[in-house]
Amino acid sequence: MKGEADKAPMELAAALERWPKALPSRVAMARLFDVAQPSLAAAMLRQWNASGLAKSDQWPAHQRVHVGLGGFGTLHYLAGPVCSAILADGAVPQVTVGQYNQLFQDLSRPQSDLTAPGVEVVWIWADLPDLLPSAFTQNPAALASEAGLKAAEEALNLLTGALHQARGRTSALFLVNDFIPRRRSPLGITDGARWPSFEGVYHFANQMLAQKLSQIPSTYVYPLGHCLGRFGLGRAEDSRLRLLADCPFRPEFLFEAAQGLRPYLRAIKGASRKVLVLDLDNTLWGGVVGEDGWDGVRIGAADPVSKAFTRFHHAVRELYERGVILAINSRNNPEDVREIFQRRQDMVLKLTDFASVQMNWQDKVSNCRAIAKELNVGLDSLVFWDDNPAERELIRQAAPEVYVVEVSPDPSNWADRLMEFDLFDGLKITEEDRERGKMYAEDRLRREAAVVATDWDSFLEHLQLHVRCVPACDENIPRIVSLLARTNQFNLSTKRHSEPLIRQWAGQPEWRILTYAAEDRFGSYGIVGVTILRRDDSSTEIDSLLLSCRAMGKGVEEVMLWQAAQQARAWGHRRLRGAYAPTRKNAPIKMFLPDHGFVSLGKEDGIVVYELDLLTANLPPPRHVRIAVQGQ
Amino acid sequence: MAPTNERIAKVVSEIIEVPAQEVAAAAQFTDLSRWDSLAHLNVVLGIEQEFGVQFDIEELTQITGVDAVAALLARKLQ
Repeated sequence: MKGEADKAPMELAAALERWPKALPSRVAMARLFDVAQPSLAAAMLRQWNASGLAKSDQWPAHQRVHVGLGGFGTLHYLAGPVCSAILADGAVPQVTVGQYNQLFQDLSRPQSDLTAPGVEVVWIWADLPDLLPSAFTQNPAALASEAGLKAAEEALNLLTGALHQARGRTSALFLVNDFIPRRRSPLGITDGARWPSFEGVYHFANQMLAQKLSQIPSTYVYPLGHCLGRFGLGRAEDSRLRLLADCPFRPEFLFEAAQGLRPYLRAIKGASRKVLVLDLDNTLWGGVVGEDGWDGVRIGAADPVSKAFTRFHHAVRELYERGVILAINSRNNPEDVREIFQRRQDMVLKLTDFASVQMNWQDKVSNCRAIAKELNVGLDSLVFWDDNPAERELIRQAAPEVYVVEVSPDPSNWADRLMEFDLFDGLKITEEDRERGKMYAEDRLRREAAVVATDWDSFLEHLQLHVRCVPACDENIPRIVSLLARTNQFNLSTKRHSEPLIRQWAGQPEWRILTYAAEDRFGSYGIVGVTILRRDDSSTEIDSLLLSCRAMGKGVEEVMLWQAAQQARAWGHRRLRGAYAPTRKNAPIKMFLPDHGFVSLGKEDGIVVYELDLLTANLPPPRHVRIAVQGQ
Repeated sequence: MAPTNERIAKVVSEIIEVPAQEVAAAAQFTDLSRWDSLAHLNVVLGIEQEFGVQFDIEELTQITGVDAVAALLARKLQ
């Protein structure tokens, strides 16, 4: 362990010297900074801060993350842990700390640093005693009463009122810690035999907090209690530090607590993972099907080892249910594997749950690439789970973008590991997310049909595509925001607008936000496309135009462009403008506007501005698509 | 410099990124330009880890300079 700890800062020092010549990628940074040890993270952070890279403003916006800290106690101690959590996902950190014990002013004051432009996440540290200071110092036992519950509710109203005010000024994500009883009840054991109880005030306050925050857009309860439970209250707290520095927690815990920011930060940066790639032998079952046979592998409930694999199936299934795409990457005879899935009734996962199945004798790196290609995602959307350390090392070397899980040889904790997993988290789970697994399975049937069809046009006719255009409304805004955050390839501007901003625009006449849902003979795709149009003085601007990669190339994109032109005409404009902002991934949309008659007006900072003259343009909707437009 | 003093100066120097000689030359930690309450807390925890001791709250107020810490450690480790 000690050897590992010494090695990483040396690698880092070498990398920091090398990097100024060329900015490192997220992957390269994440691989160096993603260490689980707080002492190591602190040492690495010192090196990072000493390097010129830390202060540099040459970083592209998508690789920078700005977090604000507000609340009670000395929050400066959190700045380091927050920076190290940001670095661990390959982003460049900036942290703004609010005024000492001035949370309400920080949230309500118009010129507050916490709600200034650029701050993307505001993390709020307020414990129940901070919100009810006199009750806790003067007579905490009196809190165990109806009056205590009422006092807690009023304190929460003050907090959420301030958050509502701040919401009007910033679209940053708000994260508010839940409340944790950190002392024994002043009523001793009698607390457990009464209501309202002292502990009960905390439960009540947490429930109220969750209810009230759910009413504020882009605002989340931050599960500090969960983190504290795993770390241990006894290890986390240090009374001396409270007295010395007004910070009740030891730095080791603060590093651990800040790690929980990472799924939120990845989600707002569109860096959440999408696909879980699984091995089969000794991963989805115990044993090797080629040797042990379909009836010899261990799965089901016959013994503890089989049970461990079954629990793992259930954990994978949980991810599938919330929209994670499953894929198989295995060296096996396909016939053997099909036999297991068909004949073993105790397999929780079915072969049809997998959207891409690579079973062959090729190397697993090629198979990962094939999976990414088949599912139309980047390698950096994949998470690789394989019991074999040699295979894992191979992927790490040859395809560093793939996240490789360090799997223990003992399968007993795999299910728990997977349930703690936060790499797939998005900011919302929409209806589309819940259906995604099924929709990708339907895509496999579509692909097979496309192979059978003799030419592409007849395949499109055969698809019987039906596209439905619906303006932004309460029901589809979460899906719009999730598509803005997740879509990388067919995305013209890759602007990751926040939910509050979309809600604001949806109500303004100079903006037109349209969603596109598609359906064909093989099933429904759900909402796959979004266009955001802005009415300028003399032209219509395409702020965003994106389409989920599953629906690319079938005609939905032409419907979207046709509809944008219709809107421009309705606004009395002759010109429709759009700008292509190149990213590492959005080459598929590069030629989309010029291919449809748009003319380049020039290039600035790499962004190409295009314009279509609607007087001369001929932009009909594709013939094979049935189109329904709501509100017309 | 006594070995204990050297170790203390090294801990402080690593945490606030000031050369160890400069730390050793300062009569008080507060004379160091990069010293602040965050540095104080980290130095306390760093010295505890380096020497395998735990200071009580009274002793924490005496973490004021290299010599003061060395004297404190000499009493504690007797």
